[in-house]
Amino acid sequence: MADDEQETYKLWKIRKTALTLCHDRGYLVTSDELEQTLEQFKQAYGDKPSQGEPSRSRLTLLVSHTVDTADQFYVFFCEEKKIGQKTLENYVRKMEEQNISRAIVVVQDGLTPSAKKLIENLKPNVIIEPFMEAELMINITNHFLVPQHVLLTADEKKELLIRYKLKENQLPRIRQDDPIARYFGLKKGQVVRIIRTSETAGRYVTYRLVC
Amino acid sequence: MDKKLQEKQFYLNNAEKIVSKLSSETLSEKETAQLIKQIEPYHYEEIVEERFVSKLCGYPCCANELTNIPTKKYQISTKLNKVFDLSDRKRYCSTECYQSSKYIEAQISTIPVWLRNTPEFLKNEGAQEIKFWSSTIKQKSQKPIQKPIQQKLVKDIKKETEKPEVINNLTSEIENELKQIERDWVEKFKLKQEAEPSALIVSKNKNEQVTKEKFDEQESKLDADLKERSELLKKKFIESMEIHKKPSDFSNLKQIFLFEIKKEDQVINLGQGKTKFEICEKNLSQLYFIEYIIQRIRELISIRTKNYLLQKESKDKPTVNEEREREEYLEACDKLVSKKTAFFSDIDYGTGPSEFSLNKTEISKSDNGEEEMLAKLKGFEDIIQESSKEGKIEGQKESSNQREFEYDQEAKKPLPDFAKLKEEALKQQLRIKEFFSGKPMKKETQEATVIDENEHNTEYNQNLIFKIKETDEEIVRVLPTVDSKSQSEIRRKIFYDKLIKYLEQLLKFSEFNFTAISTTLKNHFKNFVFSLNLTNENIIFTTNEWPIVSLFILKILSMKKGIVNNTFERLVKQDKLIETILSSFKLDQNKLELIAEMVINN
Repeated sequence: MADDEQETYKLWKIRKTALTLCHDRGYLVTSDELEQTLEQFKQAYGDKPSQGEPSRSRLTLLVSHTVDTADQFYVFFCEEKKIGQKTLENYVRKMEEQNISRAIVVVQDGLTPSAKKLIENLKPNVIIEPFMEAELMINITNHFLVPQHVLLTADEKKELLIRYKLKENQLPRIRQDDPIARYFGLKKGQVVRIIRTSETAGRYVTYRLVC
Repeated sequence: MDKKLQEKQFYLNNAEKIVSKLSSETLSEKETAQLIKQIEPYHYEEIVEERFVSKLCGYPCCANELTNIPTKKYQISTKLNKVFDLSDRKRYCSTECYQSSKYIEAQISTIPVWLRNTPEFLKNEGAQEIKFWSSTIKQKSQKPIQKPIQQKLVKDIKKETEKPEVINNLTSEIENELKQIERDWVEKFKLKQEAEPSALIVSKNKNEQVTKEKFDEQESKLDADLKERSELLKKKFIESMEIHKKPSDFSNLKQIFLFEIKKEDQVINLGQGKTKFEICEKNLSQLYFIEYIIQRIRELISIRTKNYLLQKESKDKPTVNEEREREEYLEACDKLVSKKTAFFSDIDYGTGPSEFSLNKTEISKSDNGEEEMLAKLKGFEDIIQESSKEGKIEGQKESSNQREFEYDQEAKKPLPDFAKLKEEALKQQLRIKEFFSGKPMKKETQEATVIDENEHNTEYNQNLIFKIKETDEEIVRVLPTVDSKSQSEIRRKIFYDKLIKYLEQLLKFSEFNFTAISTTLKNHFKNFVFSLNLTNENIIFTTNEWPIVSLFILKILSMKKGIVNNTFERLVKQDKLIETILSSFKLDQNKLELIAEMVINN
């Protein structure tokens, strides 16, 4: 069916973006998975989403950090169109069982207000970032207008502030809900280096403080 | 300040807790009412949404799970010509839940939860108890069934479903009746089989083949009988449904039969000397039906009908036939005038016949009836005289005079010559033709059309078809039949056709072949129908009523003196199908006769 084909393509795209997102955040993803073609995806998961092949929950990912392997990261795919408190609580339980603090929830239609509130309430300990499926259809960082963003480590940030004799609040800012900030899962207080090409200077480097 | 903030946070947290509680659990109405007092409307919306997401009915007191959630966003009701937004309605298992949920939501205070602790609020809004939609409280206990959303959307449909109890009673009644009739039928069948040989003796001379055919015929008759009976039952059912709507005090039947209703014994005694019979109360619907039919037929019958029935029939051409012919010419006349004075024909003249029908019961009862009618006719005359101009007045006068003549033999004005009248009518028709063709007509063609007209007039219910010969071209023009006269003509046509159709069915199996009935006999029916008071309403009978109506009319007609008498008399008395129909209504020949007499004589 045409619908099935479309849906499979969509899922493949979403999963691919999710995987590159994990990769860009520094989690370990094999190159096989990153370069998976649609055909391979179909072989691995099936091509009839309407009959539960693949069901969205089967696409759920668990990746660990390249450096600190204890730091793991979940990508949940939801069956429901709109997820409520209950589903979210299930995810949280799962994460707590495995002692995982960060996750992405890929939702089709959005969250209920109470689910959003739950995410807010969990924040310091457990961080859940909701992503719409539509947002993950393409990888925004690959767009030609989007410059390269590099997250600075705590040491690098300190060095930067000393070098330019700046206070933290004197840096230019980027919002936490900026699409790129969301993509990289930036936390408040972190600094990103933005490198763009320039006609006059060849390369122009700037910094942004997440607020 | 801090304290206040803390308080605010406390209340909000509390509200959130309630939201999560209500969205996962289904509590009783009392508990819900308590909790709902501590939240704001947007919290309630959250509850509903959360419940919907977890596939629970959005109404916090309803534990039903949602199944068959429609994927569409809108429901288009073709019945009401409206589009309903389903997005809200989707979240509930039924319309009741939807209603009660909305009902509760409307009662939730919009004042922020942390500001509710003031004495003012507690006095006014806070003191009010949350009320629940009353219907759901009752229904909850009964049904956890989920009704299809599409149906429940339209409230009208819900209302319709309130009747079933009544219907159930009636259906059980009718089932009983059906069984009884079946039993009757088995007995009858035996009797008929016994009677069969004797019938064969009479037809000794005929071949064996004929007898076989007779058997076949008999069988088909049985089938037809059964069908007929089931139809009658249906009819009764329909009738019994409408009992309360119709006047049903047996005023007609009472006149013929002594009539008692003993409710304790559940037995009704109907009778007069020999014709006494008992009817159980459950068979009352039959009586109602008969009563209803009698009433309807009585409404149909006019003075003219009575005159017609009392007239002695002379040979082939009955006197009324002549009268009818004359009437048709008069109608043509009237048509002319009413066309030209369309305004009046719509308002005053047009309503004439229906007024007759309204008053006709009075007329037929009281002796003053004829005078009333006369007065009315004079009224018409006046109106039309005022409205019509010059030459047209004459025709109208004549026609109305002619009408007087029908009802009152002692008219003061001299009666116009019939031939003259005919001529006048044709002249007027010619004028119309001229009007429609847009060209003045030659005298020669006039002659031709006159002949044409004559032919058409002899037909029953002729459409006004004018053939105009102009430059070797034949143009056929059909004038729209909108005036009251042609309307009544159409009504007659309809009534007559229906009557004949059902009579044919009724008399299918009798030796008397109705389809091959001679035109003279058909003429009797025509004349009879012609004499009836037909309005747009009283010609309507259901398919179930028609057989009985036609049977009654047959009987009535059979009472007319003259040649028809014997034929119909024999016909009615010998037909077995008629007998079965009669017996299913607990009637017999004698009673039928009594009814017919009563209908004619009152």
